[in-house]
Amino acid sequence: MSDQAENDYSIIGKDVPRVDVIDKVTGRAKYGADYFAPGQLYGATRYTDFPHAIIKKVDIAKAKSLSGVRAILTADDIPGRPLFGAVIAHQPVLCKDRVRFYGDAVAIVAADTQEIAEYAASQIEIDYEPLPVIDDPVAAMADDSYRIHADSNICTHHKVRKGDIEKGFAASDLVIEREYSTQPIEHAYIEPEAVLAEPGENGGITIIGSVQNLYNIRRAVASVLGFPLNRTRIIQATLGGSFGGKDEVMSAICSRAAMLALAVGRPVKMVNSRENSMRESYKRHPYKMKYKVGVTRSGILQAMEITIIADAGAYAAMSPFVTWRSTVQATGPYVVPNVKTDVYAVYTNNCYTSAMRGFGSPQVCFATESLMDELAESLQLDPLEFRLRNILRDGSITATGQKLTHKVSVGQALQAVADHADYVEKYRANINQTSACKIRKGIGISCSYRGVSLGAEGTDAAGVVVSVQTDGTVVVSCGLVDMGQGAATTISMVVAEELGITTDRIRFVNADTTLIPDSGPTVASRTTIMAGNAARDGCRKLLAKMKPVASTLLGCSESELIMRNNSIRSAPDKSSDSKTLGFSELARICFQKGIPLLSHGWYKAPSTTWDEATGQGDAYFTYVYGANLAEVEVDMVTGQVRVVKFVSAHDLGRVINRSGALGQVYGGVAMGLGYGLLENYAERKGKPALENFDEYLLATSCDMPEMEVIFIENPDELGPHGAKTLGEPACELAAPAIANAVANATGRRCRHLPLTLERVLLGVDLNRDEDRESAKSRNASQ
Amino acid sequence: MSSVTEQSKLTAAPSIKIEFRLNGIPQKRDVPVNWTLLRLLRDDLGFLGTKCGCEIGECGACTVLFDRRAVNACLVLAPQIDGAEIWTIEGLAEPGAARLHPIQEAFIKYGAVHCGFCTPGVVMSVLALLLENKNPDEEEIKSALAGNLCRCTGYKQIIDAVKSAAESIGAEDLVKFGVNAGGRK
Amino acid sequence: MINVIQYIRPRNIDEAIERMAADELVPIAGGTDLIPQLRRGRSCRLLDIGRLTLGFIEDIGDWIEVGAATSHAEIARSKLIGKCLPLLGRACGLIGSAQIRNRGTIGGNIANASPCADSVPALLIYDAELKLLSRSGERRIKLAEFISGPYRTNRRPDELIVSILCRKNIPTTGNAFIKLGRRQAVNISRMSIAAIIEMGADRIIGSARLAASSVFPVSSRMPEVERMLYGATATPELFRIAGEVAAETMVAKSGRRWSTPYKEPVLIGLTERALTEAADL
Repeated sequence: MSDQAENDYSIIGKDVPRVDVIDKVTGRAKYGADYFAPGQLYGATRYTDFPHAIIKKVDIAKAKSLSGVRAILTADDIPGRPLFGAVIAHQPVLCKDRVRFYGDAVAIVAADTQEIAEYAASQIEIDYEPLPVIDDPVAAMADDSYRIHADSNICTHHKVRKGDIEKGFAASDLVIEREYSTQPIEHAYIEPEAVLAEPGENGGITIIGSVQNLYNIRRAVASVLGFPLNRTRIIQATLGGSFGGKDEVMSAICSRAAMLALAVGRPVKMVNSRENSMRESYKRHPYKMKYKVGVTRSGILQAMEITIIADAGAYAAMSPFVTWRSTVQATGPYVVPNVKTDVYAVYTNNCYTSAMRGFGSPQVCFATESLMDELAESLQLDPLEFRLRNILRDGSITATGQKLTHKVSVGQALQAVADHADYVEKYRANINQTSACKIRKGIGISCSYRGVSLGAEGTDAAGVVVSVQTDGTVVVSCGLVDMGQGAATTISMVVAEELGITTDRIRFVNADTTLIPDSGPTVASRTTIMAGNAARDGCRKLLAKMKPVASTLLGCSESELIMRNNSIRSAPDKSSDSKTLGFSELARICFQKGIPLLSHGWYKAPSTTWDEATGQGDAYFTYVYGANLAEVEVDMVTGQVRVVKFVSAHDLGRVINRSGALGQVYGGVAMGLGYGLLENYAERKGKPALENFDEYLLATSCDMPEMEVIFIENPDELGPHGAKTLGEPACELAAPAIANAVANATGRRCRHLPLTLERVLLGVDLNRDEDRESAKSRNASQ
Repeated sequence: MSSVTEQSKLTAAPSIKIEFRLNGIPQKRDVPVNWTLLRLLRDDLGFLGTKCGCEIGECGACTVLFDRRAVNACLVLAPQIDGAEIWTIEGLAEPGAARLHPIQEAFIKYGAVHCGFCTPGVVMSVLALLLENKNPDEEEIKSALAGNLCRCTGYKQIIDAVKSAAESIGAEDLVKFGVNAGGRK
Repeated sequence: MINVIQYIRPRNIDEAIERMAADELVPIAGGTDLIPQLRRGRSCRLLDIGRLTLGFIEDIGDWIEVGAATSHAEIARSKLIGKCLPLLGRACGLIGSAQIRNRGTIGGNIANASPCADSVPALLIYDAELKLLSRSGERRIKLAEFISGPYRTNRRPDELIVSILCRKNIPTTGNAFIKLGRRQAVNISRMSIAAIIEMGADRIIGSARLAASSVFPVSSRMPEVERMLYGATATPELFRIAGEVAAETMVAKSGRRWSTPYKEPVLIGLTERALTEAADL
């Protein structure tokens, strides 16, 4: 389905091995925990013992007297500002007088060994006055609820007001109301957080570790230390997965490690155990979503009234932005003339929530795509047909009043997955399965539209540095990072394509805040489009310097130059007067001529508009579209769901690295499958009900279905070679496709994630009343 | 979490002398009795390719070969490897080797590596599988990998890589790990 | 941080027995259950049984003897087990991951006495008995009597589990082992059921054995169900009723707990399924 331009590329769209892959398969890649420094100490964190409490007294005397303890720091020792946060700076690095969730830290220790540090942390004596634990965001919204911060518990309220919903409902033949909910999700990067902080030269600090968004983290650390940015250096180690997860939590951990390192004048390493990682790292927001929707008898949507309450947990973090994306996308990819949407993020004493792959979309995708199936069932239409009657098309107006001026391919994606698996026939046949059947089949679809990059959330720009060495090899570095998703490879491929060299000539250097300007965060699946465009810009600036030299040497005009496969030619191969020049030779000559082959490429996204009061505007500069299909088998005896087949179709504009793109989709399906069936970071009264992978269940190799991927390539004029976004769309659609398939199989709808054995069999979840602490301590004490 | 409750934990645990082979090379160590094999590899021997992900044997990032079988290094006490043969990811292709091991080559070819943190453990599980079964079917491959959590790839490209590796691997690629060895008594 | 106070590795059984008599030691074999407990705060003096040659599977006439330190993987791949104790082979093949099965041992699975231990229902079907050794000699005890409660056994502190004996020739026409977990692999068992049926061509059941884990406080056989099956003709209705009897027995013995609304219908259905599979209906 790619267009005719494909043959013009020598690199783009091909399978290229990851640029870092040899290090990774040989075990030589260095992750945060793999850095050691001579004389390093080990850091440990003392967390609060209560999810919500006043700290009355912290006594470190006993802990400090232990042999091997080098420093114990509390909030009183913070040299700069004690609070951080990119949107609202109210999250304490160390809590002084109040703790607000079970992962809050009160003190930190540096000691000669990990054991001593952990033991000393446990010996710090803290007096608390427990406060009421607010664990339900709906209750937290009440005026008389206990306030978690000084102001209201409502962190954010976003609105969309379009048309007149009352008129819309009046014009409807059928109005249904439904409530859906989703659960908190742990990022579950397999690499727990790890940093090494070293007092740097000139009184600075250098931190290397598992950081996703270097610049946010640098701002936080500098502010906590009272340092200028130029003395605060953050270097990204190879990241063992992040998925949006190594941001605020790393601001806290980096700040703590830096404080300890400066206090003792020695390197300090802090590595989280999995239990501490789960305890203190933020989660994906659980949502409670109410939808009232009106539709005509012929299946045309008339109005949607949407109320969404997101549990922000104890701190704002990215909640205002996460819920904003939900607000924009809350209706799903459908034409709805009348819309009233209210999305709230509300503080509670649960673990705080922030960015995670999808960023506010997986929740609303689950709700809207479940709702579409429910509406179709009510109208006795098949869910594909019902969707297609309402789907966004070229030139459609979105819920936020944005006219879509690019190719809108969501209908195409939906049709592609449905055709691929004979959806309509199977859907009907499954409904007619006999009740005696113990293993029932189901099929389900889902689709979405997704705003690309940050949109009206904030400044949207990124930089890439491209430096041609005197031997013609190239060093590329970027402020947006590779966290496993393959950004290093994708960016290298764009550079290779532009400069006409092969990717083996390129070395991608991990980001370092002292070398690359602030490119904003590696989030919102913005890396390919933002860094890709910046890389092109950087390469064009280089070519502007190199091409005149080449044309002089080859005796032709610049427009006649063909740069490909590490050489520059003056004309096509076959012509007799073709002359060639190696790229490395050209680089050497440029150096001799004193022409600097270093450039800084920059890309600033087109501007977007947003009216806070009405929620109307051009929220994102472009969108991507996708559709998923799941086939399941449901064991009617146990409620167990097995996903047997999965089809994903995504319009990503243009495939840059085919193997990497496929990997993004497969991995997104796995994460979405976990969201749909397995994962739940359950909390009870503000305390986690689980702490490791024995109870937080990720999909294993045996859980994965047969997967097929259909790439739709409608190049976008704004993307590098037309490329847009894939990482998040790949993940947001699996759960609703699975839930729809389960409903198709069982005839009963589950409106709450995940679809546990109990929910599928009984329609309700069951909660263990016995708390796990007692179960485990009994286990351990025998 | 390791909730340390006794002052005695501050004094180092007693040590014990052990001898074993690591990636074919004899080793003698004096190791604290409370160290795991994972800690011995990483903190003492500097074999950092073996990763620590959960410390309770659920994620498989620390998978190594212990007498030709895949084990979680976090669930082996260092003293227990006395007399044993241990292989880690570093043993597959030594630095400077002319080529990578066929399993590694297949992982590269099939895009089976994303963030790479689970990769060393996955590769060791695959090696253990192929030592025992040179023609695994898809179910056997999935079953052999079920103890290695990967959050990035969705496993598909890993499974494809294993199928390819199984075809291309030769006896010479397995012999140093001990091909026909049975279980340890 | 693993809390090991002392680590002893005797060279032979005699030395082990002496050490066990002298000190309060916890035997460690694979350590797959024990090491996470040590990490979570339990502290122990350990006696490593790794050198005691307790990894073996032997045919000793009416019984198959399995050394306590035999790994789940070895049991799962053993041809002798596959032939004589197929339910045990299947159960061990479904424990944890490949890595866990390579380290974890049958003796450890029993000693840990988890109510959801996968091997126990299969062992109970085969009338498993344990051989324990101490300075005062050998003691043989039925597995059903050895496990005294959740995570509790009747092992005396000075005793070492040496082997597990399973009866070889239990009349079998067909058998079934079902493990239910939340995902498709590497599960803490939500429920497991082992079943054997012996019947003639007339489908009249001569004998039936059924055992379950995660149903009762301790994994156990279900004599109430076995009795009602005896002499009856194998039909879907009979197995449905057998499931109902199993569920009634569960509620009677375990009481109504948070999970009962789920486990009740599931036990009915899985009992029915296991018996249907065993009877090849």
